[in-house]
Amino acid sequence: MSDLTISHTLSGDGTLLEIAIDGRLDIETAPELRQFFLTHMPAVQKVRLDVSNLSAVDLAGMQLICSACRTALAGTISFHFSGKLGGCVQEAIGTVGLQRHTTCKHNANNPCIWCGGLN
Amino acid sequence: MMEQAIATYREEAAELLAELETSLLELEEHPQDDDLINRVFRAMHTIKGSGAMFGFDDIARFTHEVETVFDLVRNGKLFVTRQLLDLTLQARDQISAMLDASAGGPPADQATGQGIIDGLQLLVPHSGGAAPAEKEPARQEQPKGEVCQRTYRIRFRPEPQIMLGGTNPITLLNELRGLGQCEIVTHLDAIPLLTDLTPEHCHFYWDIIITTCHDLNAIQDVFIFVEDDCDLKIDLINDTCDTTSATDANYKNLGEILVERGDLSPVEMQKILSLQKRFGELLVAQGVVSSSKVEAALVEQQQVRQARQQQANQDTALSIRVPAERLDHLVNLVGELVTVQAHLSQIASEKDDGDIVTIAEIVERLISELRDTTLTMRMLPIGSTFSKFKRLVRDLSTELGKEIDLETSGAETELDKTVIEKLNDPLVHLIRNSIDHGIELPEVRQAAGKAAKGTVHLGAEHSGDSVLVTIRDDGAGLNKEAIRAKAIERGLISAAAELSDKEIYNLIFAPGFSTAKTVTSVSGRGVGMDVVKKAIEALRGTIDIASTPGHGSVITLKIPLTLAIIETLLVRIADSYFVLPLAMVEECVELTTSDVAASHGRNLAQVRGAMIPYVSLREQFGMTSNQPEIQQIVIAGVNGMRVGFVVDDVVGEHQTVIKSLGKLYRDLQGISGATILGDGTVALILDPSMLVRGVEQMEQQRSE
Repeated sequence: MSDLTISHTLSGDGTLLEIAIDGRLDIETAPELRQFFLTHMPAVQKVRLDVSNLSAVDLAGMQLICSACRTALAGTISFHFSGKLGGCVQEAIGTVGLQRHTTCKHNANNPCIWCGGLN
Repeated sequence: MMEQAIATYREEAAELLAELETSLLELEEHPQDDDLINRVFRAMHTIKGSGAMFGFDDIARFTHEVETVFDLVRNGKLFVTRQLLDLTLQARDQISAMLDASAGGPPADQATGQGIIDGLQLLVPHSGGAAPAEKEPARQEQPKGEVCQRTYRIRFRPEPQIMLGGTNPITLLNELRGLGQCEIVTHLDAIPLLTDLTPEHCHFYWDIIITTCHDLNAIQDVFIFVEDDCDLKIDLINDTCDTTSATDANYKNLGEILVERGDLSPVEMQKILSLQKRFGELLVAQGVVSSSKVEAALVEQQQVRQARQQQANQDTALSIRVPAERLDHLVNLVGELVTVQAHLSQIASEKDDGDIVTIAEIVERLISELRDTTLTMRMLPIGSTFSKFKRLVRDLSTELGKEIDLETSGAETELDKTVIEKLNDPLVHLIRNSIDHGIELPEVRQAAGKAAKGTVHLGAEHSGDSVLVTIRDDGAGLNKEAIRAKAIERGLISAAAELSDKEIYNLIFAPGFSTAKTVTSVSGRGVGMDVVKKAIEALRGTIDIASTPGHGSVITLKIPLTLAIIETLLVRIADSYFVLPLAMVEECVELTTSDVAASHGRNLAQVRGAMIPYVSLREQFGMTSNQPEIQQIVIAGVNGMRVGFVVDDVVGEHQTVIKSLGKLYRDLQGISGATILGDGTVALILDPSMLVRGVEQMEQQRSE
């Protein structure tokens, strides 16, 4: 049984994909989430990812979310986050040094919506 | 040279052990305090690192084991528990014993050391199956005295497969953080789109700016196991000890840093500069450099400027370590100078020569300043002694099954170094007594309507030229009846004696006095309070007791600020001069022959309606010269009583440089030393407490 639970809902018109991830997003579970994104993201116009129930995240998890975010932007899919970052996620972002990552060139140099300034 | 370095290590290790103990005890009260956890870790890390550097391999090995466990605490993998603190405190004592052993003391018990390590290992989660901790001390730390701060720029770009081999780059970043002030900027530009992403690969890379007292080797050691799996570039970009490097707070401009890092070419820099806008913004807007690289360069600029600014601040507040004996020698020399200056002033006044008088006055002023400065150099905050007692209270209360908090105040109060050292044993006795006799067992306290946990308060405050040290407890207070009964039983007082509360309390200072029903390892043997009193009196201090039954006791020690030079009152009897500590003198009154006749040999003088007992020093010292018509009584406060000392004449206030009388006169009662007056005459320093005690003993013998 995976330590990560991925649940999602699709809006009635099929344009908004809301994803909630729960548990550990790490090197073991990141491939599962990657596969989920690859399967579901190309068919929608908007993605909303809720990370508030993440209990732990490692380097692999952090870079996967970053990659999903920029993949969506490259495909002109609107990508947003919902929910408040948990303490462990904020701590992991600080440990890796990501909180200094303020702007993102994939998003017209707007502030990074994932970890810039610790959201 | 090496011997000197080793001696310095011993001194520093002793200081670090004291700091470690204080931090551990504070940690017990605030187990979540990261700052305290880091302080504990740093203290052990420095003891270990410097120990390995100076050949104290056993200390380094032992400390390493303890440090490893605290590293888990620091990383949130182990919680601070009473058991962990007990073992770490024992480990601190073991390191202290090992240090003593290295200086020629008894060897430290290896079995004890192993027991501590085994105990700590048991606390480590999954220690049975965990990878063995590294056995060698990881790195060497600069001795504390060196303040070299180097700033390194690190570009760490791991191979994508690094995580597949089980290496977590975050661990390396955390290790770097442990070495000094660290700013980390992550680069995300290598993260591919999802289709090309291999989630198990590492696509991050980092720029790290670290300011540390460690050398390059320590930083390279962090990457030692991944050096084949990464691109690593480490550049020294600032060294505060390198006198050839710039020391002003300004550091390179952003463009220069980026060019130096290879993130920007000089041509591109010039091109952008010509646009005359904010350089960092322009670089990002033009897409020449990513925002994270600009951010990393800005971090470098800021940190080096900060490090240089701190160095500049330190330069203005440098301190040096001076052996205590050199300071003692300096104080002695200043003492000689004070004596010579008094002689000079006396000659100047006799010669009636304006020039000599002027020079004498200037010399007097300068020596006065020199004396004050020299004595200040020996002053230390009493807090260093206070912190030791936290441990004492903790251990004793556990042993006796009591719950006691030690509160302190006035830790910053400064006292002469020698005084502080000599105050340690008396304070230990007094605090032990408070814990054993004063504070009740929790159930007894609760039955009396008090909180189960008792409090011992240790405080210090300045009071004129003295420091008042108080030991206050909220225990049961002194049992007057028990003290009185014991004193009668021991023949210290007669059953009919009418004594004030203070006089009854003072009976506990009699040798061998104890009202304790049981003898414990802590107290009750009747050894202690008389020793305490003698020790305080040897410091020319006084001790006072106040107590309220059921509410506790307060013991107040009044200690002179310094032992070297004191303010005194110079008095004369015939051709002999004596001085009395001015702090004890309350007033001087005349004593005529008719007053003496009126007292009918009882040595009592009436001063403003009160009867003051007095001691005739002429009689006491067996001086046979004729006494003048009018004598002077110097009234001093002794053990809470007013006692007079009769002399021929009061000369005036005098600055007294204390000289010991030597071994031959060691047992002389009532004289605590001597001083040399301006004309070379020797004046004896009177000890009022001992004089009074001597007279009391004589009276007692006479009445028997």
